[in-house]
Amino acid sequence: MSSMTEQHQPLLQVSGLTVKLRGFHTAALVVDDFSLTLERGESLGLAGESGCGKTTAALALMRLLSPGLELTRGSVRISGEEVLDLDEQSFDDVRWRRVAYVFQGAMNALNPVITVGDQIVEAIHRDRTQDMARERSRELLESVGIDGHRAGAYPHQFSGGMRQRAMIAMALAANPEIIIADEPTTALDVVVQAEILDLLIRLQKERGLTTIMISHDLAAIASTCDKVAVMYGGRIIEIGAVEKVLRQPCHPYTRALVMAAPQSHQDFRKISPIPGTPPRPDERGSGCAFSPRCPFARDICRAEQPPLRMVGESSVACHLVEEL
Amino acid sequence: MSRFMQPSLGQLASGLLLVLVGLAALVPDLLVGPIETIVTATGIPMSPPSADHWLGTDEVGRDILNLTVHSARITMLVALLASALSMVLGTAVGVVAGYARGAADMLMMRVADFFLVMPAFILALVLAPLAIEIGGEQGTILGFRPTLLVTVVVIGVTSWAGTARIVRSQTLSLRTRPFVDRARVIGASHKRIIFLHILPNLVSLIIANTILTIVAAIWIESALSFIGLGDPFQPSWGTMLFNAQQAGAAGVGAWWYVFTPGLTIVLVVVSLYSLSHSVALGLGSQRRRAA
Repeated sequence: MSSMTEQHQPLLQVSGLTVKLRGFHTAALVVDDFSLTLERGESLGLAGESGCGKTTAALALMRLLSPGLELTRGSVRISGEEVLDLDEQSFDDVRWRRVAYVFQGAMNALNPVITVGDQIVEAIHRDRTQDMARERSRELLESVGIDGHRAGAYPHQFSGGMRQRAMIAMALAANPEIIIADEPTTALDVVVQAEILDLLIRLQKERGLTTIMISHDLAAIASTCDKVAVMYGGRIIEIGAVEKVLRQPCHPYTRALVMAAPQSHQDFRKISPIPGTPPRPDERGSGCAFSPRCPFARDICRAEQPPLRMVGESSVACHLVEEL
Repeated sequence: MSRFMQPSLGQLASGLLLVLVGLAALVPDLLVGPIETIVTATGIPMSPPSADHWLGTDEVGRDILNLTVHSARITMLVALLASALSMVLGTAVGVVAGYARGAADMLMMRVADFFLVMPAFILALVLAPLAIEIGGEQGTILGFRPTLLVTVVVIGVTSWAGTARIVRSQTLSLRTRPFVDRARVIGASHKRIIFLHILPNLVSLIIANTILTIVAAIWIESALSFIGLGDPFQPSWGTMLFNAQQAGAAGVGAWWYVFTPGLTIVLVVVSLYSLSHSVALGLGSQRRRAA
């Protein structure tokens, strides 16, 4: 095992990440056994409904959980180095320098009374002089397609798309290897969404970035990512190559999710929503979390949690995958 | 700030009045000549408004207009110093309590509660003789005449708690905003977050609130002077009312003696309220834009 890891170490290896709600007697798991592996330059989309634990999983691996949440176990290795064991000070060097985060809601993540340029300067690591940092912040803005002269503008003077670009520029500030983008296209109109996605693809290619994109927009994931992980009830229920998972989904939830996404060439009447809502973390039974909403559910689904296992080229967590 | 940039007629008038008060406080000699004393008084005592004395004279023949203009300095000095004290103290306590939360917040807010219920008059009544004892009736403490210092300290000490509460509640909201989390993630220190991310967002609130503190300070200064706790050697509007009351001005029909300082206080206070309102409106429109 050790000789194997020495030969080849993936850039990011997350295994068994588990997050629970503090103050609950029962195991209220918000993220349950979250594992994935990303090679350098790969891009992964994290899909699923609201409340499935996508953002929590991403924040957990950045060690940014809010006080109500607790990381109970798991490991995050970057180039083979375990980062969850590092003390807070050492982790500060990993966060933003190696893994950067594009926060959800670009408007709220920018301070309304400080110029965009100065906020990017803040993100540039402090071993540069003020002038160098200013120059670098202008370069960063240019690299995301904003005129460098706009560095002196305040967030409210920017459009929604420009704010999102500025947030991406901020994430690039310390030359990270991995960027996690949380809902980067939400609340933007489709044309601007396409521009932001193009920007992300371009940055992936130019800088060899490894990206994790959290989105409930399957089309956005399909156009930017190599791999996709679908989450439900805090667990990854299907993970594999984008074309495989989205074209031939194996898990009933992934199928339902694909059916629920509107496509422009499709008759709108064919969109089928998934009845019901995801279960609360403290209300999940012992079985498959999707079983109450699953049209194929049987006794075994309600009794036993299906493990994630290889089915063809992707991994699926469903008891009935061979039969469906 | 667009609404603030297009002031209404009332706001213009208020602004003009405040400029006049400012001039009176800074260069009173240019407006009405040097201050008149009992020795230099030229008028007939208690004479009604005339061409020589536009607003009449007091019981020793001093020109009321002259006194009113010269009084602006003490009133405004006390009000501004007290508000500055209250603003600095209140903002510091409010930001630290709101940002730190927990035990520190609890402790600071209980102290603030104590000062919130402390009556300004009683405190002034207790402190004034003490200050005169320390500084002497003619002497100074830290360059201030003792009674003046008492007024500044009493107003400052009794009004900071309100500012602290308002600043704390806004800080509680600001500290949970995503941009503060983002700054923390980037590695910003607490000091940096407070000074760069929280304080600038509080500026309009602090300004609007401080103007209201100035209003309160003018009220308290006038009231304290009116009951005789002012500095007898330096006129303020409250001291003038005190003198008018001592001379029985209202009883002998010398309305100009009572009305002039009284109306001046009312007009200045109304002007400041109007200004504070404009700043608060500016704050509102800024919030709407940011939302």
